[in-house]
Amino acid sequence: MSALKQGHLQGTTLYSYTRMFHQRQMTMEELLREVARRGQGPGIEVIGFQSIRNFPNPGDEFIGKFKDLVAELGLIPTSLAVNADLGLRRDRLLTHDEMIDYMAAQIKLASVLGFPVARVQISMTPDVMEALLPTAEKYNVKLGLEVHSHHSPRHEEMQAHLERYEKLNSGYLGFVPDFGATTVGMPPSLLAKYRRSGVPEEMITELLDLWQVHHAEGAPKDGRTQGMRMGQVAGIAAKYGFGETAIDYAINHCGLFGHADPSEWSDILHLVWHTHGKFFGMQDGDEPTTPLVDILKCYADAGYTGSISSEYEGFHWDEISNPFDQVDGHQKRIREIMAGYGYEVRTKA
Amino acid sequence: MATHDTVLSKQSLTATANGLSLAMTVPWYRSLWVSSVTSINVHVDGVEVPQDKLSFRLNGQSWPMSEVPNQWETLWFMQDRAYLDMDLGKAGVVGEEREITFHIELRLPYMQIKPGLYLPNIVHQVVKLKVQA
Repeated sequence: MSALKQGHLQGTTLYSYTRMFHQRQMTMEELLREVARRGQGPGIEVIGFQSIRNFPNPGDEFIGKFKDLVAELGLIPTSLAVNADLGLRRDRLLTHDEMIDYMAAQIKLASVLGFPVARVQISMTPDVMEALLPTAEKYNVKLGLEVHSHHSPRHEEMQAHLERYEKLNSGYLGFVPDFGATTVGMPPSLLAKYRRSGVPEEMITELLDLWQVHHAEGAPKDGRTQGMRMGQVAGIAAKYGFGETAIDYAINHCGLFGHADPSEWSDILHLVWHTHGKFFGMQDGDEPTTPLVDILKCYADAGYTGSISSEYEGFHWDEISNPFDQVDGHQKRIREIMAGYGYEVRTKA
Repeated sequence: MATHDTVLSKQSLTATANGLSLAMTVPWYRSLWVSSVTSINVHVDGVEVPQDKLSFRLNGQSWPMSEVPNQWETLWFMQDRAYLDMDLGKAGVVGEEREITFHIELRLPYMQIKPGLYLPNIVHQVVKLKVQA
């Protein structure tokens, strides 16, 4: 058997452990130490507005401590998730220049902390991305636009970004795929939560049937389709007396479990340096919602050597599973699949 | 979706000199500017507390509810607790059990659905809490 080629960099995101941090059970330092102890790195991703107090101006003491800790633990910063809070003010939107300044401060901190990529989100237009290019170049931080359900590479908005990035060919503007855009169902752990919280079986059946209808139609290519689908889900929730939280059902149903075919990732992988290996919960050694075998085939075919964060999201509804165990299982499964494709996942700094 | 069940805890309700106070965790996975809070409504034992009897307190600053949407320079950090102070006209009684109906609506400032319309995050909870000292 021939030797395995070097594959992508294994990693995780502190988002996977949101519940522990939120409930003040663990500090950021404790999370990083547990990540290192379990060998869930070396790649480490952080959401700025989650983990860092006074983001994006945390002060020199924090910056020094973070860099020392990462060095001590042998971790490699992969991506700092930044946010475009366009609706920060109630009286008006941020102006173009204010938005550039708002993002530049976060991109600068990414550089200072040693993150090679800043993850941005879809509220950024191709024009804003292009306007941020000098900032990205100045600080040597690549910008990765997250491709998150309900979007997918072939959504019209993503197509506009792809066209612009290819035209600019800067090496600094690209994408961060999120595996939640290419799912094959609703997660068993979410349905279990619905049942625990008294959602009637008839409503669950209706939700599942509707998900399959949407899946057969495919990922929405525009905002109108997405809005219509969310309305359908909210209608089901309201019919069964869950009107107060109907929007929640709609967000879960239409916002988290995307309908695109995994092969769409191949369209953009030449502009990808970092990836959100989104998953919702391991079951019998596999992940039932995000089809890893099919998704990772695209990565293997592309010879991808960037980083992948195992991004556990089941914590939103599963208060029973241990997120660290979940990430262990996910990374093990990814290593197995990649070995089958001839790649050894990089697990050491 | 996110972390809804964490906004209030069993220790959230405390007695104050003129009523009760509720400790709240930001019901989202990231810190949000205080301006992201669209509204909070609370009923105590089925009786709605008027908006002008509520104030929102965070890290030593306090605002009437009408001023909360204007606080776009103050960050509600993930690990900090904000407090909803309720003026009920008499001191809270430690040890009593009160039924709290809590409804908070946020708008997520980075998730614009279409111009001017943001993805909301809504948490609606009915809980029985014992008043803490």
